[in-house]
Amino acid sequence: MSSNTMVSLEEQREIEQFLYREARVLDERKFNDWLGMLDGGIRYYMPNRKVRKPKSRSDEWDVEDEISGDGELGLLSDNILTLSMRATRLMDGLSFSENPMSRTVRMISNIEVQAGEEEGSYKVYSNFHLNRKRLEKDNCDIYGSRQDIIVREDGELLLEERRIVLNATVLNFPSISLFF
Amino acid sequence: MNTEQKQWVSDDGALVDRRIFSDAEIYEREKKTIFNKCWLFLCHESQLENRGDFFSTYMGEEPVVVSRHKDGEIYAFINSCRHRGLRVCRADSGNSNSHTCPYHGWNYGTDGQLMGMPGKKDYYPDLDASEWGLVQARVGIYKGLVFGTFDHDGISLEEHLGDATFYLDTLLDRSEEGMEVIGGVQKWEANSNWKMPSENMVGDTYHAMMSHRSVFAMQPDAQDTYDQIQEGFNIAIEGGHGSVCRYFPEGTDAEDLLPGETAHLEMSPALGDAIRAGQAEAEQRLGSVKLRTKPAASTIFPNFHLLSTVFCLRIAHPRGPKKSELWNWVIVPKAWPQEIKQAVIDNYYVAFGPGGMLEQDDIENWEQVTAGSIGEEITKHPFHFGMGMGAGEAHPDIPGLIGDAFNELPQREMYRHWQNLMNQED
Repeated sequence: MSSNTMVSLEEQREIEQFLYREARVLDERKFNDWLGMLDGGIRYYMPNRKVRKPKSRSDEWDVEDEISGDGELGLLSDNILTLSMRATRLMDGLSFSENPMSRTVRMISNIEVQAGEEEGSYKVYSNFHLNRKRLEKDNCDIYGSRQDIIVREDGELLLEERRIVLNATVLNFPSISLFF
Repeated sequence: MNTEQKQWVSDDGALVDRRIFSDAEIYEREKKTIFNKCWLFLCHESQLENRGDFFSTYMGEEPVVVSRHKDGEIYAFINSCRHRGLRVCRADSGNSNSHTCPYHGWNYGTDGQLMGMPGKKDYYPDLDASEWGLVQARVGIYKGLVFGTFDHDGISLEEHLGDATFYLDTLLDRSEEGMEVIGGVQKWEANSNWKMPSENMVGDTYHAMMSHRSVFAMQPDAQDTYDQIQEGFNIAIEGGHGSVCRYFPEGTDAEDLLPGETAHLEMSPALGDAIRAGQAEAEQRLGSVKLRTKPAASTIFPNFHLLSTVFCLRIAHPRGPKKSELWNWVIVPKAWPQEIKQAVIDNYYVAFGPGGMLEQDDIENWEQVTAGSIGEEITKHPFHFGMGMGAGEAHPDIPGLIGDAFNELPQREMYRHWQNLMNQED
């Protein structure tokens, strides 16, 4: 890591604690608290992923080449309004895909914190494992990676951007009803 | 089970045996009589613009490559080497001059023909390459939609679609430039029998008031749309197809005829403007009757579906009796600028696809129907499809048998058609 992207141990720890708290808040289904951790201008999106053929024999298999970009069909693209709608829907009990609600355990790992482009912002990489159980025995394990931009506003950390990349090309679960 | 006539669906379609959503033996028969015989949706022509472009999909459970050959034609062939059965194409999509088996190197052209293999001259001096190409499907194209069938002597695609083309045209034939799909396909698994999405989109207006009330509670516009759909029809189209569709009288306000959801048009004024700008040409091409026909959800038997007002094409690939793989595309007018296409995608994400707030609850229900179709005692008790018995008049303007929004006419006709096919010889 070049020195200009280095952050202090204190900042690293603060970001880690932010992500762990976020995961706990979601596992505890405190969705309003989660919305409170988001910047009002948040961009929260999940591109699609595909199996591609090599471009040439010396292809370096850049992961980005498997991930949908601008103008292509992804899986999610949310802003604060649509995230609030999704949270409301989880909480209002009218959606039977989440009533009774999923039981989730999120593991967040591989947290790498870099100084962001703007003063007081951080670029944060992490991996996740989300175990989702619902009703009696429905079970699925979802794995993926995230790239976040976390900003500090009035001393408080807020999530400003999150890109979620699942490891699957064919999702092994029926719906993306949860937050990642 | 070959010649004996089985009855899973009552003659009037009002009772349907639960086992057709779960039983392994019935599913094995479906593979022979439905997926090995019917025209199945493969992809949209815009996915194969250039020679060598290919798209990997399935016909039933069998992997198929759809490819544009150097002669400009589209071919579809089973993705299984004739030598040892490996997939010769291992990518979801792309461009390739040929497809080579990773095991011994048998090499096939973009039309599926065997071009050669290592040591051909020495090891296979007498092999007739024309006999050992990849196994072909017969390909048919309707206004950009590419279909395939393994029934090489059966009815044509146009015969299969029949009167459904009238309803397809309302989405596909609005402009000279035509439609294209946005790059990429959403793919995900559900523990649902493949017929549930077909049944849902063939004519189930009824489910929305319960299944989607979480969305209606948040979005008054969505409730408005549903109220409008209730003024429409559930239409059974010969061949097991059907549509949840509105038909507006002459003199209807032009705004009501726009082929999008009212809510989306308001959320994205630029999208609304783009749709409005296309109306004159659409009217010229479609004529007044088709212009006033606005399908919301449609099923093309057996497993292809359209959600026209959100610009979505979809297929449910069967994966055994109790599992499906759902694939969704977004389709837009080619001529639209990128920002308008993006508005369509962004609106789509909120409602449909694995993250869609409407779709999530649909899939939950389809999974629970499948789970509720298992059990020695309960399967003695059929499902009730008797809503609105007696519906099914012809309409003076639009094709198909017409019922109001609250009948299960299209479902009854779909399952009767299904049973007829199941009782045909292999």
